[in-house]
Amino acid sequence: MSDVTAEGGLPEKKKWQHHVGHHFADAENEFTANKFGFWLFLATEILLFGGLFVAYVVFRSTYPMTFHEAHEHLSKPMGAINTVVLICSSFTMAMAVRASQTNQHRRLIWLLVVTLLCAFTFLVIKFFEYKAKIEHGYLPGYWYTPHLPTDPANGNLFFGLYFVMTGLHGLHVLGGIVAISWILVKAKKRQFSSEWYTPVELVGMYWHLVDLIWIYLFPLFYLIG
Amino acid sequence: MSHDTAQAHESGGRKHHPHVLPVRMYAGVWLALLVLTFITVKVSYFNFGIMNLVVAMGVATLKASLVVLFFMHLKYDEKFNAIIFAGSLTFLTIFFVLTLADTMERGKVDPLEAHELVPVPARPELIDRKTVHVDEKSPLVPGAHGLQVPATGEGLAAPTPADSAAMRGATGGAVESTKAPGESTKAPGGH
Repeated sequence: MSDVTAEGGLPEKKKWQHHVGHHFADAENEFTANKFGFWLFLATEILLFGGLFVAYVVFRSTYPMTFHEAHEHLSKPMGAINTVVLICSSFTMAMAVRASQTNQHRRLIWLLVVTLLCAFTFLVIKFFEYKAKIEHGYLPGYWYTPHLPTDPANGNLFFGLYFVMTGLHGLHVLGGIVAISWILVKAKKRQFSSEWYTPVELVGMYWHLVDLIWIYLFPLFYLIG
Repeated sequence: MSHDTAQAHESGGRKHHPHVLPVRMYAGVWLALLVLTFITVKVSYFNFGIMNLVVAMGVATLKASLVVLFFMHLKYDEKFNAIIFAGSLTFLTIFFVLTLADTMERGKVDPLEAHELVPVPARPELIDRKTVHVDEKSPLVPGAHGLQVPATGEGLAAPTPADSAAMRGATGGAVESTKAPGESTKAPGGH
């Protein structure tokens, strides 16, 4: 705790103070209750994606060659770069939570900005990937209209799951961008301190979960052996 | 909330003291995640058969564990939160096991019974794709699993012979389900 120092430089504005909710015994009680609730939410998120992973396993075990052929139409380098981007953003987010714990306000702000930049980079790369797939007519279901002889047979199975699973993940990235922007605004108002940084902690947990789901999506779609 | 209550909260109760972890630890986890990503990508360029899937999932699980334990602080968190997390994984496992216990075991009938089952499609929509799969050239239920069968489609609804062959080689336990009933005595995944 020796490095808990109020960082100078920024002008001291009207001091914003978080008040512990009256239904909590104290600040510690509030923090653990908030975190407990958020873990419950993350459990529902895991089960939300879980259903899609079950669908994936059922279809891949029935059509292994179809999945193998179709996955070669995805760009492994792009998927790998996106994995690295998300891992780096997870790291900067974890460091941002630490900065809020140690009252390093400026560091918190730039770490959140870097995390946001990574999130946008991820979506931009994803956009170019989607664009290429859509040009090949790989959209799922009714819109699956491949037109080249090299297109994978039965690819709609693979690309249906690909678009739905990475699409839902992409929506979570968008949600993460909104949430991180929100705590960035609060951080700029200097609302977080070592005594109260709950939103940073919880948004951090959410962001790590988004990373965690991608950690499974990447090998399952891009690295089929 | 009255001012008095607020005062009581700020002064009387326990304050929250963050459990600050060293930067070294975060940086170490970050590097480990990057190295593991590099490994899993490199490995995917070689063909180790079933081991590709095992390595890919093993590495992913290792990475996920690092993220959950250290970035999400679960290692240092209230044990009750770990139970919530483990609970979600438990129910996910139940979801997987019960679903696969169905889809993987379809069409596993005694060869004698299978003879009686196949030729009489009283209600075609109820007939399992894999049970019917005795003659690979004539898939009786082309619409199974909601597949669109193109005009040139040759047996797309049923797994292609290549799919079935790959399953024999690749996914040990899953093997028997796609086999035609008559084949079920052969040992799975011998090579």
